[in-house]
Amino acid sequence: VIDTVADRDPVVGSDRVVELLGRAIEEAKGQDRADLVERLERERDRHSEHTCHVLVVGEFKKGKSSLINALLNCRVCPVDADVATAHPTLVRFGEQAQGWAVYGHEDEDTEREPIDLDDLQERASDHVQADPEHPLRSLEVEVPRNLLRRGLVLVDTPGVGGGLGAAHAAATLRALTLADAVIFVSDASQEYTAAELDFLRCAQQLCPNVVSVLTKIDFFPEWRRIVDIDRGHLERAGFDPTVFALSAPLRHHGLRVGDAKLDEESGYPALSAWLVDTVLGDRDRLVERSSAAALRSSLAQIERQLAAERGPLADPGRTRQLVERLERAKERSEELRGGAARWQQTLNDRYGDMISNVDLDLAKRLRAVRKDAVETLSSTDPADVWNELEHWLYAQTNETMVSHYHQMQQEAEQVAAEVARHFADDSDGVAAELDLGEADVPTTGNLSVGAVNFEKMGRGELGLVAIRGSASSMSICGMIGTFAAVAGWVPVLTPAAALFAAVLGRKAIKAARETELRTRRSDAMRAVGSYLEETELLARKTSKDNLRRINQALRSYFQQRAEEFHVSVTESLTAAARAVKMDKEEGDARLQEITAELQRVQALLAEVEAELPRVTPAIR
Amino acid sequence: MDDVDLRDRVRALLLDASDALAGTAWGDRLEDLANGLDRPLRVAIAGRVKAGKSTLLNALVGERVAATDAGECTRIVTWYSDGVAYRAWIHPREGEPRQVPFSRTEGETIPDLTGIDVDQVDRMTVEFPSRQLTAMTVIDTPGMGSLSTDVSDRSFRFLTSSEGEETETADAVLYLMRHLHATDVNFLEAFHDTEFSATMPVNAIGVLSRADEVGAGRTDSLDLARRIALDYEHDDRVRSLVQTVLPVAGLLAESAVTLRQDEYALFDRLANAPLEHSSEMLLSADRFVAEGAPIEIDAEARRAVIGRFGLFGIRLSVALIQHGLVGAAADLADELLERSGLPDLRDLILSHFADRADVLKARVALAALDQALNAHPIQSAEQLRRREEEIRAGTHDFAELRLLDDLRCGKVRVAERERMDMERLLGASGRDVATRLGVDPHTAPAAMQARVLTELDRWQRTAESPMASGDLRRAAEVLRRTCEALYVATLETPGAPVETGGRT
Repeated sequence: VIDTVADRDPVVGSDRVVELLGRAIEEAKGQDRADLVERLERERDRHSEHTCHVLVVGEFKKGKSSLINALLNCRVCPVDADVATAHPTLVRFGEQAQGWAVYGHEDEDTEREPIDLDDLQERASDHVQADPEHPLRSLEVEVPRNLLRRGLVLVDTPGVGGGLGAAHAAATLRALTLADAVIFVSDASQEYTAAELDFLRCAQQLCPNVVSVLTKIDFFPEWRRIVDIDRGHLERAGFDPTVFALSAPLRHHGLRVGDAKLDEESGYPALSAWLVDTVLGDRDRLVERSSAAALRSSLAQIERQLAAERGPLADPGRTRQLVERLERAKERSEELRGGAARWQQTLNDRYGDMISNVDLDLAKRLRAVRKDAVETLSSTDPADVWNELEHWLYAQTNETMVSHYHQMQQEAEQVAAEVARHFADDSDGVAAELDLGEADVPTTGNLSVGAVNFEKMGRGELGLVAIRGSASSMSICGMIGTFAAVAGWVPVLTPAAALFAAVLGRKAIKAARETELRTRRSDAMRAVGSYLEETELLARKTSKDNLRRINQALRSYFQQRAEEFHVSVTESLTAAARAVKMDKEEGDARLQEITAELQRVQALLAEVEAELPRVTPAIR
Repeated sequence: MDDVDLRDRVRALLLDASDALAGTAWGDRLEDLANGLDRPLRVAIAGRVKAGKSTLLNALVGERVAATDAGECTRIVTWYSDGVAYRAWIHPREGEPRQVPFSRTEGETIPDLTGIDVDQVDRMTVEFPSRQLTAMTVIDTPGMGSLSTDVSDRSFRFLTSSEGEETETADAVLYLMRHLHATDVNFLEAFHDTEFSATMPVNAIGVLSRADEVGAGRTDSLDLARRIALDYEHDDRVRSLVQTVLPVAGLLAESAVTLRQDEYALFDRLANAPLEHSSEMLLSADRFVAEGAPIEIDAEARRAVIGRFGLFGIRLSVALIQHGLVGAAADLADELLERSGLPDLRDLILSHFADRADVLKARVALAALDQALNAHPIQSAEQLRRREEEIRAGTHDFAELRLLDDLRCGKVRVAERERMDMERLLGASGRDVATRLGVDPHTAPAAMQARVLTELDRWQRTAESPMASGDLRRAAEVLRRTCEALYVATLETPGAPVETGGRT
């Protein structure tokens, strides 16, 4: 499971964390630790550029756009009883209401053109014939709404009719891998269909926060029954059975006449609360955990460094012993950053394993699909089942890709945890030597803190994370709106029909009714085979890219930590040597100075300890 | 050849084939088909789960005989036919059919299925005295796309039954769709492609059902639904699957035909209450039945009325009364029924299916014969096939239907303008002479004859034109014969449906 933040501790608040980070940055500057300054500043930036993408998905005409309008109580997404949303619309905070149309192909630079918000309706629907050279990619809207002020971005998506088999499905699924949360929309006219539940199943594998909502409850008298039935379906599928029941007309009416009870009845206040507490809350918690770890690790290093300088001044008799320990720590830290370190070897070995596992997994899954297809084709006439087969094959491969991605992601997480554990063990050696055991200096924490806890929080800093969050609005919209093969975590497949056409010529199967069944079968199998080959090729490439990214991210993260330790130890040695050379007068003055600095750093560290969450490692 | 002739010839052929295949599963099956040629036309109601199939069925037969519910409800393929009394049988997959009782509640007469394991049931047949069912048997099917896969499977098996299975098929299909859906088209294509089910655009009508829910709560839902249905009709994919698409508000129709005086009184009270009170009650379904509503109406009656009419039906009825468009229960019932689209659908079924019943049934029967002969290449097969060919070739209706299908599916490609003329002449929008010619029914016979001759000339020239493609020449040949038959008809009884099937 990815960062589910099962234990939802209270959020400390961005302001306070940013303040603590600011003080820590000052301390790091005081010690000339440019590396720590950079890490802490990066943490601080994360608090300000904090966006949180919520995708609104569902089948056609289920009220996705109305939901966003009702949530924000303004008309930002075009709503029409007939025309369905054709382009993703992105809604975020802005001091003034304004909108843009974004044009351009996926792999090109985009062009943003300001548009009148009243024109949105026309633009978002399919009515305007698209210029193929200059296609409309998405719409962006900024509105001054408090709900969005903290970085919430709502994304209205075109409906996926027919679940995983729909042409849009793959693109939407891929966008899900970047979203922070998903609102799955169905309406009170009927219970979930098989297609809807299949889609939900995939969404659950791709995104940690998925919530189900039921719209139009004002119109369907039996909506409570439908909610109950849907809850049953969700429970049986092993999902969270929470369903928010919503009514956009009641929301608008309630807010217009100032009737709070009616607003409550519309269900929207509860959905807003969920967005704030759970979606934004989880996001804040993750950022805070990451900041807490960076603070602890950096301050502990500064503390050790100060203690190393203070040692010879406070207790000159133990100077030799101290220097010996620091020399040993230096050796260890060199090992830690060298290629022979255990964490490095683990990463190398496991990376190799992953590549072969992923290939194997992919081949196995696609073989199963192929087997089913061949069975169908050899017991029927392809001419009869052709259309179904195309649809089925596309849905199957989409589902296969999602499961495959899920599998790969879990494996990557295991590897990351293992590497983290080995890194922690290795670095404990460094830390042990650095722990100077001075009676009068209370020791707080050890250096390995940042690495060990990576499993639950550090992912925020790793590239792994690209999976979750740190997504740009541009990439999310790009993914929804296109089939183009850009780098993504899940490959976007071409609908089977398109490729079949390329292999056979679209008319071949239908027109060839009079020809031999055997020819027809072998043609069909050839088409299926080449579709699956194409799929495998694309998926293999995507998976390899993913693994390479994961590998690089892990390596650079731990390498940086190892370098930090090395700098810490080297600086401590220099400081100790400097202290030894000082004369009595100079030494006393320096001792006073350092003691004060040390106390300040320790006080800061104590504040961090007391206020920020400490995450207990999951694997130890 | 008139229809009776066609029927007799097909029957004789089927019976001979049945004898030749005696002892195989097909022997009995073909005999059943032969006997079935005299039965009423079978119209199946198909579509995705919760498309409103049972509601439409109730509306069509004018009585609540099929259970309806907010959740998925119909789980057995059920045949409704005309009979002397209310009787229902369960046909288990194995074993003899057995009769089941009806449960009667206010306004409903529904077979009681308590204690019956639906998984073991193949189908149910229900009989009751109904004027609507004399001309056709209506078959209700469980929806496709259900989460209980078994239920979907049962429908799919019925609608696309394959070789050797003892399932009887429908002669025509009403395909219900809500907003058009990828799976809808897929499903339609799937059973359209199965030769045996013989579902072709000519015997399928699309119904945009639950039309009152389009736009959930808008007052112009039905107009919108009409617009959407029209769009669908122009969609190539849809056109290749069904003849036409009609919007129908099933719930409205069902309730309109059974509208009671006390229900009208309730609407009347709402219409005459202060506007702020009525609009508060009509804000949502919950508010309408809530306790302490501003207009004092029995809570039980409110619940009953919203169940029967839906929020849309209530809003519409109240508005009709408020605007003085209706003044009595009977007026309101007529108005609601008219707006529901059901009368149009009924007319369409009669003009498209009932008129062609014999040809449609013969087609299904001959398709089955093909299957049987493919499965059992017996000695007399050659001779039986030759007779089958003779019937097909000798019946111009078959040629017309085939051409209509080919035009619809895009197998024969002609210019849009030409295609519309062709479809009209072939009887796509009605089989009487005037409709086929596209003239007013009161046109004088002489003018009609002149018109036919113009058409005849046009297609004759096309059929012989060296410039025309092979497809077009063959199509024109069919149309030439159609025009000849039309000419004969204008000499006899103008206005009557034209059987163009004279033997040549």
